[in-house]
Amino acid sequence: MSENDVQILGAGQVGSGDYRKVTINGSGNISGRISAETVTVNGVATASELVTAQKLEVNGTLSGNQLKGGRIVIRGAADLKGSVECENFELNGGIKCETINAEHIEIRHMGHGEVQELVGSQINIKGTIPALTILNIEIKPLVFSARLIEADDIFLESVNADVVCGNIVHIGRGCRIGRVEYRESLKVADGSSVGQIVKD
Amino acid sequence: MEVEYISKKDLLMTTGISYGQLYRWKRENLIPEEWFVKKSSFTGQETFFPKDKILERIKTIQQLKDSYPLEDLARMLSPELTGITYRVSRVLSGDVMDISSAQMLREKIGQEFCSFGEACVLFTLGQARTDGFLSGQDLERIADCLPEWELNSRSGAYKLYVLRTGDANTVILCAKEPPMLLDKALKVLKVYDLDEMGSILKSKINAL
Repeated sequence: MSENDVQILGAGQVGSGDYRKVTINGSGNISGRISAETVTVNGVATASELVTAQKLEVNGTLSGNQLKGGRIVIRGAADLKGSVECENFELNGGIKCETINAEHIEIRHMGHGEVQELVGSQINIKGTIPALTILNIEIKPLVFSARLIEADDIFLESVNADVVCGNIVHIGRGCRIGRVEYRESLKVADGSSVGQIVKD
Repeated sequence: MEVEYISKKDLLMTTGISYGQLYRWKRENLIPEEWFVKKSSFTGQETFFPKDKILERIKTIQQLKDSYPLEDLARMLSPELTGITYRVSRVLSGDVMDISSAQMLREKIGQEFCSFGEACVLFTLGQARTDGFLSGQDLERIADCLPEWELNSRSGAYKLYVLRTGDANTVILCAKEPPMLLDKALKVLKVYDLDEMGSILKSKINAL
């Protein structure tokens, strides 16, 4: 592994290559394919190609292409042209991308979510309750949408999905699912709707 | 020949693997992305896999996963995806192909390393000579073209056609899709599927 560290303080650019620690505090443009032990973004980053990191942490926003790695944590928002593949994926905020394929996917969203496929072993998606709902004022629910969600263990809240397939599936509140296919167990919260239920 | 497909659901039920395992192996390049075929079914879009290939691959992974780290397995089973290179001297050796073809090609190939794609083509050319479709001279002439063909930068499924043209036999290396449309006047002696040749090559190299 490389011994090179790159730190951007303010605004700057990171070129393609192998690094040890890449840190962007401010605004950074990752102009090529990079791989690193850790990539930390506190601010705004853009990447045009594959970013591979053992640990990738974004506190802010990332506009990119493909992400691969061990642990990917996003607090804020990510807008990706491609897919995410990693061991552990944590999101607190919003994401737009093709596919998230990870062993564990933990999402706490505020409604901003547009993903084609979420696949892996354990998927937990929780919605955050907007303050106005707590005061009992009806507002438009904020939903995370996906075409396909497939894993062994699935928990969903405030999610719209076309198809959900799993072993142990728990559809929490605020969900609208086209079709659920489950093998071991299925729970559907009151208020959530499931179009079709198939037990394998 | 029609390829038989198996649905993802049937695959999981038949093999007993979990979603987690399937998607982990996909991430590790043990199951190529191109094997995940999306087809429209009456329930919407469903994913299917080429039946024989996927069942065999899963059986192999299950047998070997406790003996090797997944990364190593991926290099053995999907070299075309993991981008590994081989020593040309290893590919052009008596263990992999007919020794005289190997020697002929070795004289012509200047590089020390080659990609899996290039190794497949070399292996297939050697096989074509062993099968009697190419002469030593044909082999040498074709070996001269290899640098221009830039096999390193090509990906995807290929076929090698051996055609009889006048005095010498010639070769066309073309992509499987879209399929090549041939004039009936062309005498096709043999068509080699590089995917199939690749599988044979993999097992020979892994056994070394």
